[in-house]
Amino acid sequence: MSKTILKLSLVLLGMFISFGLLAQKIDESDTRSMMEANFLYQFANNNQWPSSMKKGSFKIVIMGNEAVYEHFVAKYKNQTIGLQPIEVMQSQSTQQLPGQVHLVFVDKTKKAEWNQLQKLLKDKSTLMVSNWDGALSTGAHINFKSVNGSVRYELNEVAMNEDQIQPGIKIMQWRVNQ
Amino acid sequence: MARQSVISIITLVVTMVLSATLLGQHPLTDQVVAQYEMDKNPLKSLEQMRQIFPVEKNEAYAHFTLGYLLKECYKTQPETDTKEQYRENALLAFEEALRLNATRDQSLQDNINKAQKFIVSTLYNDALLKAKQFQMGNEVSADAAYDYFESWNKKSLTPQSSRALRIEFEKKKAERYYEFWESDAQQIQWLNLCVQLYEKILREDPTDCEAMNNTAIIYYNIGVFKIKQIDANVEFDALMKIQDDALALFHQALPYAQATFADCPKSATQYKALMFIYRAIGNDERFLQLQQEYKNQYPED
Repeated sequence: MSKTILKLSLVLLGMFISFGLLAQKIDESDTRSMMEANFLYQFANNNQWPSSMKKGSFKIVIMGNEAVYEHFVAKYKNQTIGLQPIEVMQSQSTQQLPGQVHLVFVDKTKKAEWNQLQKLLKDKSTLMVSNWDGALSTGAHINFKSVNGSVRYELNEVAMNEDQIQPGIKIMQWRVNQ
Repeated sequence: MARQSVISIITLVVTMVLSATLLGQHPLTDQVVAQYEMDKNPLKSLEQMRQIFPVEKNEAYAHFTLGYLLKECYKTQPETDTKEQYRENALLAFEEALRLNATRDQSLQDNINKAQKFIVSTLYNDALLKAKQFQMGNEVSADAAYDYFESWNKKSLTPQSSRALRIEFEKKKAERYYEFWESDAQQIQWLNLCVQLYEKILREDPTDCEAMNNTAIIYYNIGVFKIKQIDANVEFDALMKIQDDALALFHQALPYAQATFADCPKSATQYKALMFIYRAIGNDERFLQLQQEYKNQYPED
């Protein structure tokens, strides 16, 4: 019996269940792009455009940065700005722009399109938003910048007024110095 | 001559009785054992053992055999253990066998040790399974199972290292909390419970790579979750506050991800955790550098 017991016990010793290591799954969403998309909606909602542009849909064009476009569509495509339903589109080049645009966001990957874009949108009350250093001095109305890791923005109030876009109080309040 | 024979027989019987009394004998138990070795039917042998047990209840070997048969019954019918209490009764029988093993019979001691280890390991497995499967709000069932295992582990002849086992158990609970959160991302409290457990593990073992990596990921994921909650109903001021809160979480995640990356075997998960955290806190330079390394290391991903 003793030998039998010993044999059986040895076979079954220490059979602790092991499920193996399990790493939690990281959310791969681009949070900075998500924040930029959130800000774009706030810019659309908190600034004032001339009355001539308060008809039809509120057109927003996103050039470059798929993540910004996708997040904007997911969160805001069914919203309205005042009574204007948002119409958001993605554009790879200036040639794809519609005639009247309320807001254009140009990602730094599309910086090469910038000069052409400015010519096209001159005097059209289109809010131009960018996200690279120095963009404000080359004609952007609002430019995203990183402040201690946080997505913030700088703003050219004079340029906005010249293009008849009136910055809202909250937009002014949260801007950072150039 | 006849008288001499009678004396010899009486002497032999007296000697056997004295031997049985002084040295310990268990003929009835031996019979049960012999029967068990023939038919390998633990339920039948257990029944026999229970019948003869009162006669040899002072024998360590009888208690051991009883415990052993209970253990074998558990192995045959584990699903009936809750009702029959095979394992608990077996462990009690082994305790009694050890108490009665006054001569310190080493082979008996060894066999008890092995049998105890087996049963204790099954109790731990039960605790792990409960940690992996408990229903929402019923984690106490897992804790109770672990405490039960631990109480017997401490009493066994050679206890397992409970620190490592406790950590493994807590990881399973953390994973369960994470599963709850995955089933309903709005219920952020599950992630908080999850990260609390990983932090507890890290207080016990600051070098635990799995806990470090998962802590980083959970803090980061909570931050991402907060940003994902922003929608058209969120006012500008609230948006800024949410971003600050998320950023604080990304910064909380960073040292865990850095430590994992520096001290643990490299994996795709680690690369992703660290590079996404760098991206989230606006360190594009480190993000792009790691992204390039990641592509070189894991071209298939």
